[in-house]
Amino acid sequence: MRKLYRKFQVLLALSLLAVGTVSAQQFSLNGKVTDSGTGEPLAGVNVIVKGTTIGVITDIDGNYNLTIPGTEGVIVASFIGYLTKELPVNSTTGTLNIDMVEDVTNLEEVVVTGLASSVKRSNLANAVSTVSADELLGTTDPQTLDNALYGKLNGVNINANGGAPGGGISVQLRGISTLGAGSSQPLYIVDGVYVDNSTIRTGRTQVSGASSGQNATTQDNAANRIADLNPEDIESIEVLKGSSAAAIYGTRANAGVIIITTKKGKAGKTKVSLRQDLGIARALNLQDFDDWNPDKITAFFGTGERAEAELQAYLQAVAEGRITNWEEEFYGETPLLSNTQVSVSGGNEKTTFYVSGGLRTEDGILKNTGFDRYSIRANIDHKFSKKLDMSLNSNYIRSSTQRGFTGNQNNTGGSIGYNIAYLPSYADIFPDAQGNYPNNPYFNDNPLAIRDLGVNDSDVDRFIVSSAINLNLLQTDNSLLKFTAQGGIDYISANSLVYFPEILQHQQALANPGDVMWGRNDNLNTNWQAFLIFNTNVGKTNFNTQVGTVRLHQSVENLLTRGRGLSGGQTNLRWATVQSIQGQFDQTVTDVGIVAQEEINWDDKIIGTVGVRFDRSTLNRDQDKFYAFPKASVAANIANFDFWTVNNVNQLKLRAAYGETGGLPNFGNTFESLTPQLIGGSLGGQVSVRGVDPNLEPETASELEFGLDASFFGNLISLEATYYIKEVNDLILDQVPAESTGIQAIATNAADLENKGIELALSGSPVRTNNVNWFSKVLYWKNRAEITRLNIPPFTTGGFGPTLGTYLIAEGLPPTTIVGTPGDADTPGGFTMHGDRLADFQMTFLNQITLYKNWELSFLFHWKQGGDNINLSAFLWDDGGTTPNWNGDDDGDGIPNGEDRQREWISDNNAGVYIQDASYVKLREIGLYYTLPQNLTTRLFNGLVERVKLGFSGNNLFLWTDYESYDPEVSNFGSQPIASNIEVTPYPTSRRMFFHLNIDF
Amino acid sequence: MKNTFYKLGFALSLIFIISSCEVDEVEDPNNPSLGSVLNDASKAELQTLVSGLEARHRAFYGSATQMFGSFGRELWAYFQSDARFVADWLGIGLDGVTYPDFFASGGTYITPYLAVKQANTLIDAANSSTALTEQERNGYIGFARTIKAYQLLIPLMQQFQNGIRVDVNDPLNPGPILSYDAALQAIRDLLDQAQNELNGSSFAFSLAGFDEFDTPESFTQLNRAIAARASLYAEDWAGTLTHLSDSFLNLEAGAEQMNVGPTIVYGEAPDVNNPLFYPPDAATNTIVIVHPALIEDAIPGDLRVENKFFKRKEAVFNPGVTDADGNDIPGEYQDNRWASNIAPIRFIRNEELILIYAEASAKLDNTNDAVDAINLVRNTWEIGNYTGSTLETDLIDEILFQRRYSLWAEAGHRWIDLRRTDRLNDTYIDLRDRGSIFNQVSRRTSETNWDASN
Repeated sequence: MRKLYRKFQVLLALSLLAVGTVSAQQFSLNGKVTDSGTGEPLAGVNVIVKGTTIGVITDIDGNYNLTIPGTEGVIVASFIGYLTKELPVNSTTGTLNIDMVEDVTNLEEVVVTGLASSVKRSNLANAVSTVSADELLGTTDPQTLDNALYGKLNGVNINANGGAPGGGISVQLRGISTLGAGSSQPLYIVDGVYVDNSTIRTGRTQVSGASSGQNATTQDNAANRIADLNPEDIESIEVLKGSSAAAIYGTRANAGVIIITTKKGKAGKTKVSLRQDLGIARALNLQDFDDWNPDKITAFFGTGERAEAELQAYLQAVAEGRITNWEEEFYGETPLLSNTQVSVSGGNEKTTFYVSGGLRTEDGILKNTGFDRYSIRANIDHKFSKKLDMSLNSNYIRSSTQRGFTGNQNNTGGSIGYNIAYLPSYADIFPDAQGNYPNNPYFNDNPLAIRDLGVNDSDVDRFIVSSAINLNLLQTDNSLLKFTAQGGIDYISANSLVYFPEILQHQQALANPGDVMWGRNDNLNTNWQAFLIFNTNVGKTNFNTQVGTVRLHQSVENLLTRGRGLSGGQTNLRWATVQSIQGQFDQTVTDVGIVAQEEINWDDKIIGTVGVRFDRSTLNRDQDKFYAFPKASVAANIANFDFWTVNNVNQLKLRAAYGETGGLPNFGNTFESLTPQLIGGSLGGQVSVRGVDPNLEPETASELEFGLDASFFGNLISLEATYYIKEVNDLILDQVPAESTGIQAIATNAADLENKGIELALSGSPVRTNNVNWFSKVLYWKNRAEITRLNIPPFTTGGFGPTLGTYLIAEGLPPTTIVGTPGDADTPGGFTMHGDRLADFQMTFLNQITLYKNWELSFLFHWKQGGDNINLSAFLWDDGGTTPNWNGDDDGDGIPNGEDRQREWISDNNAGVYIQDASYVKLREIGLYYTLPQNLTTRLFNGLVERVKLGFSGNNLFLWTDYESYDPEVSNFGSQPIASNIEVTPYPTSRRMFFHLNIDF
Repeated sequence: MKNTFYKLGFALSLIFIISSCEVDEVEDPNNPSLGSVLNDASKAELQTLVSGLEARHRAFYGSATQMFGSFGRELWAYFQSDARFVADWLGIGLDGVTYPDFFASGGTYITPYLAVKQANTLIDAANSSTALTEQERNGYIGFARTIKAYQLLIPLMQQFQNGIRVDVNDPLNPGPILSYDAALQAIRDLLDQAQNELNGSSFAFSLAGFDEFDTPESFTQLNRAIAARASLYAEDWAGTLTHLSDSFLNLEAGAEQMNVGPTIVYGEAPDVNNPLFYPPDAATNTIVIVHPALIEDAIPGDLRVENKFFKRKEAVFNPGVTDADGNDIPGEYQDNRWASNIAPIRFIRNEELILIYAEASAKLDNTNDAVDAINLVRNTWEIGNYTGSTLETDLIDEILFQRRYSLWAEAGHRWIDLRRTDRLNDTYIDLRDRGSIFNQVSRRTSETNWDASN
């Protein structure tokens, strides 16, 4: 520590030495900045003197006024969304008007790369994906933030866990970064706050019986909490995909970092924006269950007594006109979707503000499900003086989610999908005139009763607040020493209720009918950081030095209480015969880091960065030890060199970057504890099944990334190509000792993993005329992962065991390999290889076409090629006789298809029957908008309204796939590093269609 | 300039305040650590481990009854939510051979070994405690070792000729897998060792269950009863009779006498329910069904049938249990033994000891003793004296028949009994469900892997 401090002093001293001297001569310059296309004045444009810190911002009419030292210089004008312009000036120039050209290829975009610094995209040594507000929500209205990112990020695999309202999406950046110990999900940072993206337990998994026991969390089918963020407030999203870009985030960054910046006000006229989306949703891809008829009844039930009874039931249903399409009955609703957003922004030169309110209400395609989100935000920026400014961003959110009962269950019937897999179309389960639901003879419960009477609600109240100050300690003509400090809080208070009333069939079959589970959760993240940043120019070279520290504290308090044997209609725990604590779980974690980084930019020609972060965390076995995460990168802008004379190549950049990051053990994996169990009034302490490895270290990833960026024909076309090798070392895996020892898992550093991948992006404007402006972008990415070292025996993990398909972790194979019965002695682990869930490649195709300035059409296709799913919905449908082609006979052997598959599964003992290719093409987004002409708007609204925009759009409108269920995107166990893409009758995905009205005042 | 340096100083100090702030060491906020009980445990801490051992000890019972019971066709587990409860457990399509990590087989392998781990921990804790007299220490250890031996029998019965590990105290350095015979001998040795420890010991702890078997003396009788069962399995007939004489064997007729034995107890949450209780006539497809052969094969008037089997008003069906014509086999009878979901279970009973006595006697050609014991059971359940042949093989058939009804669904006797008497075939096992018969369950992957890599 002391050594580090000394190093820091030396670095600081060196940087200070570079401060130049001040010259006495100066001249003044003024002018107006306008858009080259429309001729409209541009406010807020940065006009600076190159190689200095002298600069101003244009006012609302686009005017600027600048005093320049010396007798000549170069003026640099830059503005978000426009290409930077450099113009030579001298003491005789006087007035200089500047035309700015729109930046189609985003070269000028500023990208956050350090904890306290940013860099222009054209100087970036990493492939950092950026999503702007317009890209995020400009086309349609996705329900949650992660939903809105689909297809817009290169190298990012986004997979929904199911179609239930309110989110639940897994985001994996550049392949597999952990096998289960560290977080598989990226770190989300909103305005500097480490936000909580955990999935909060509701206990549904226990109530529905999907998994019993105390610690089974993964089949709750709850949403990950990034769903709380209001996408409307977002200005931009930057994604640091690999370790080389994310190294500065250290010990938590193995899965990458997603940096979200919210909107800020601009000085000038107060702007009011109103957005109203109204829409409907429909199930996207219902399967159309197999019809029942006497022939099918014989095929399914045989010819015995049971079959005779079924035949009678069928004939009666036909006579009463009661044949029901159960999928339509349950998933056939057409819910209304509404999203209202209002924002007010503005301010003056000292203070700017952005205030917004959002109200989203959506019902689901299954009755009694839905998602509501209320959000209010105030972002305030204030400049005390030229030297000191501060900002405060605050956000309150309330999310209410009703997700109903789908997915897995056991012995309760507490899943609509599972239940109707066994429900023939002639079943009579409708309530009588008094509202009594009859027993369902085909399963454990009446699914109509589960839908109408069951409750699965969760409410989240959340505050995300951050504040930052910037203080200029020292400013000269070409140097700046700045102190910045930032702090943030993310507080989640979550409540959940899962309830099966006592009158349900399966509850009546229990000793204490009626089951209620109350969840109470408090999560608090606090983090703060302080940095010293020193920026100086020596000749044509810019040095940016930063040193600082960061600290993160997380606490979680979770309590699940349960009551069984409920008094009629009561959910209060005091009205339960049996009251118990299902679980109480507290967690507290502190991380501390120290960061130093140096960026050197030689005239935008060669840009190099080196940095290091030292981190300690209480999640580590050795809680006091600091781990180092270095990084280094270099980018060379070949086209900026004088020798470059190729006219049509405006940018040619070669880049290489290296960095290391970490992944922490899960909380609890470093403790050896007793677990409580009551027996006959005595409280026993049971030795836990988990042992501890005293030498456990965090996971580390190192990544080497190479890339080439080029743009052609006046930046009209650009190409970005990246190749990376990301190695994750010392992966923490549960070593499974011989189970006879009573220890089932010891977290240990057992494996290395390698991801290799390429990312290509080609974008440009094929047509750019006055009346037609067409922008098009193609993204292509693929990733290959392989376990390169495994010093524990190969093992299977995830899912429901080898008979139904599971994942294999073995050296030399991808960690996403799917195996299952029958046995195969030649494969590590002893089972047959049936597939791999990782896609061969993914591709997206975005088009935005503006016609006659007022019409905008945009659409986004997403193609995932390859990757397999374990489709246990099909397994259940075959078992229950409901698969769409169950009673067909494709192979002509006289045995129905459904029976054939079940026989193959059981007699040939072949799990591969239900492991299916999950390729798809989706039309993710499509939108058509019309902006009223300016003069019409002025006339209609008498000048009160600035802009009116109307439109129609669709989200997930079409799906093309051979996969035999609702959606190839699915995960029964929620967001999983490995064991994703397993389905058990999930909530079907919906297509969403909207009418939009946007008004700016 | 001076001002600047003040500010710089302020900024620097802020930076270092943040980084140098003490970070408190985080310990498990939710549970006591294992280390605390292994390091000079108090009596209160030992009591926690004793109750924990009782809890671990009871955990196998439901699973053993359901899985071994399905293997021996005592019952069918009509658990429709997972087709493998019938498909895999009945060996449909498996041709009599399981696969590694066989479906839902951890309950009769991993679970009993958790009890073994707990017993070993209790022994270590008692050995390192300074709060105990030698008598008290021996009480803890004799209790723990007896339960450990009993629990080891369960994976051994599951694995049979694959053998099992007995020395499992060090998770990263376990002993070898012993053959069936060697493991059985090791278990019998453990029981003898525990008997010595119990002799003259005192119990400084309390037990939630075990009913009348919670003193060193009565617990020793239980220890001998387990030793008698193990000796019977080892075909040491003379030893079996010796152990029985020191056990709680009571050669008297009567339903009450038959039912004497130690209990495992259940309760409402956060305790655990009796895993075999299903409310009568519950409209459910998750229920244990009495195998119809037990109804069909019963001697008319057998009180055991009336006591143990409840005829449902409406049959239950499971699409996986079908006859040769492909028709669903109705589940007509359910378990009738339990008054409620918190009724205790007696995990070894005098009725079994009487039948063990009969079997050992028959094997030693004490035919009269054997028939007398058989008749004790027959008369208790009002089916009259045994009148059949007294050839050894016929007597064994008769004893197995009585065991089938007397010990029905008591952690899987039928499958084990037929196997050890060479009768595990379709003469004795009704295969109307088109399944197959397993001799044993495959060795678990973790065990194979451990030996392959160490």
